[in-house]
Amino acid sequence: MNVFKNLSIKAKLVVIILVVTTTVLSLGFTYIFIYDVKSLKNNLVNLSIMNARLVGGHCVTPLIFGDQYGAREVLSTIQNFPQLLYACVYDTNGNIFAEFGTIDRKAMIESEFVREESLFKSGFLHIFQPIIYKGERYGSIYMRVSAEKVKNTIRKDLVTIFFLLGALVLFAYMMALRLQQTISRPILELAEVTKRISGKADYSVQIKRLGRDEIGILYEEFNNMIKQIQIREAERDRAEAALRDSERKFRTISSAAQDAIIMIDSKGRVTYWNRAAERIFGYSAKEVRRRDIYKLIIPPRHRTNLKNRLNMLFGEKADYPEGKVLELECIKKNGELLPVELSLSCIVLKGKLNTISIIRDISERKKAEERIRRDLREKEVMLKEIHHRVKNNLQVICSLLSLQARYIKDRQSLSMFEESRTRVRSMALVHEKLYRSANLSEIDFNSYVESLVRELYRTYHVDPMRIDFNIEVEDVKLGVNLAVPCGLIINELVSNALKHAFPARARRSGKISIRFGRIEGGELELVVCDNGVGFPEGFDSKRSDSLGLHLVKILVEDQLDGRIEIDSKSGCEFRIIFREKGEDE
Amino acid sequence: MRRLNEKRILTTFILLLFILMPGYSQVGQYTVKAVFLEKFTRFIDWPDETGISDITKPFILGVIGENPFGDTLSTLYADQNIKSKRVEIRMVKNVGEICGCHLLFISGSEKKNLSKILDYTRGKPILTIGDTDKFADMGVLINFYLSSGKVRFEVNESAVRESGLHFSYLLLNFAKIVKPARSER
Repeated sequence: MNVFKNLSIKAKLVVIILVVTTTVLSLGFTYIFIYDVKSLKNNLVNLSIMNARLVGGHCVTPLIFGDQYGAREVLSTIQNFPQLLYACVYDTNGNIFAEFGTIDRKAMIESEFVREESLFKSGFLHIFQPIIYKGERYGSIYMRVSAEKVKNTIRKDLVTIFFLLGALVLFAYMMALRLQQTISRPILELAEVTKRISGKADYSVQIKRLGRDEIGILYEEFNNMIKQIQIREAERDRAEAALRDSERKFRTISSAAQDAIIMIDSKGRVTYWNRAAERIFGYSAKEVRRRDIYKLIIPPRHRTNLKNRLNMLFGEKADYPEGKVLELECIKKNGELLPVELSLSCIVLKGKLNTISIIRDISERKKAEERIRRDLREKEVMLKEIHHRVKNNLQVICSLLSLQARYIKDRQSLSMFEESRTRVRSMALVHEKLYRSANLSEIDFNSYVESLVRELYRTYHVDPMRIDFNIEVEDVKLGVNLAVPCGLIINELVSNALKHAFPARARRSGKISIRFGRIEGGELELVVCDNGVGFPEGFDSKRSDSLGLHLVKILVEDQLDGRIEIDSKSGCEFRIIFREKGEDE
Repeated sequence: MRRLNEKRILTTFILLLFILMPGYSQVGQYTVKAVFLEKFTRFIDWPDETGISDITKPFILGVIGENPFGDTLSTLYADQNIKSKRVEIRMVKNVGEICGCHLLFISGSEKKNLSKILDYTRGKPILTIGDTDKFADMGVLINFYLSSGKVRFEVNESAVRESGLHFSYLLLNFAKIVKPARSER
């Protein structure tokens, strides 16, 4: 079978056709031969039986009348049956009544044809027929016929068949040789074209379709396939060109970049190292190729930490183009430590996670930052010192005013001095709170108001048990430009209340409330109210010659750009509403 | 039936012994002829009107003239049937008695009356048998003769045609034909 597999398609077709033809012809001839032999034998048997019956029929009368001579005469009439070798008639007792021809009696096989009327044996046809007349058996006839003629005919037939078969197979071979070309030629042609294509990679070849059969379809599909390959080839060329361009673009960008661009594979080995990296770290691209990045530029104390962080960042094997920025220190080739900003992103290439690091040398930036920080610290110290000095100066002014006041006998003048002193004190308190605050620009207004009110109570010798105060200040930080006017306003209003709202003769316990907070619309509201005696009758705040109220009005309108609402239904309530200003306003 | 067959075979065998005996006696010759009478009937068919197919009625075998068979006929056909019928031997004294006979043996003594007998039997299905020279030529259907010491017989084919009896071609082939019926063939 292997030999057959390796045969050329031509030989295969010829072999197949020959095998089929020979088999079919052999079967056909065998059938014809068998049929022929059978009919030859049958013909001989029929002829012999017919002769035997005919002769046997004519032997009835000799048998009945016991005329052996007559019987012999009848038997002799079958001389014209040339194949007959011997014939005899038996009477009913099985004795030979008459015979024709001679025979070697030992060769007779009488017993065998008792049952059969005809039998081919030992090259002879033996015929045995009963002689019956009108249903009564009068004897039987035996004939020995030569089968030589049949044998000869069969032999001749065999020879004829053999030569005929040979001639037909030869004819079939010639026909096969010619006809196989219709199948083998297009296939061979296809094979030839395929060889040419694979050899020269020339996809412009097309085969001419010959028919509409399967080979025709094969040709068409082959042409389609070639066309497809050609298209794909062109696409691939284009893609390759695009890829080359993209690669060039990438190379140009990466070599022009001022930041180091480093690519490492999943095992941490360097696969790409741009020119900036060479410059920053001092290693050439050749030196670092396939080397472990961690051992190369990461200080030992950062290695595990960085590896863990990388694993945490890019645990999943997926593209992560967004990137992560880290700051750390790296080691240069000369051993120097270098502060860097590391932005990491990852990309999956060939199923493996690759990390792209863009490393920026931030040593200059770090230095600048350090300088700024130092300057800032110096400024802070200076500012604190200034505030401290301003507060001290204001405190000195307060003390001077107090000393001066001791020489004043007039109560009114003394009171004016006292008022001036509290005003200066409220400003000094702002600066004190400022230099104690964290950022030197804003103060905690709540603690300021509380300190201010307590000091006023002390100044005016008011017992907090007699006049209670309640401060509700939201957690608001105020700059100096708001804190000073607000402090002065609270100073005036609370002083007023302490001096006038609760006369000693009234002997009533009072309450002063200070509220500060944001209201709707983003404005700030400062409310100072008391449950005291209120304004005297006919008092008009706008025409009052009191410096305190005048000062409050000026402060609210000029300094805070706000408005003031006064309510004196029960006690006295000042509502000051203003907008928070930016630092620059 | 078996016994009957055995008997028949034995009889035939004895008769054959007689036949095979050379120069057999006058009596032996008539025995053969008596046996032949039955054998002829095997090759001859009678028309139905003679009642041949009715096996209850006997086959009538007539002998006219002097009986040359002696007791042979009655002995032989006492237990042998002809055409499956029992055999009645009728000794015919005059022509009138011929009526009803299926077979009529005409003795040589009736040579003078032959034409009279034949006038009666002509055209009738009666098998006439003789053993006298020229009898066949004169119109007897079958006539025995001796040839080299053997009993042979001749048949007047024209007379057979006339009689209405049907003779098998085997019998005609075997016999010597007198007056063949050429015109009708």
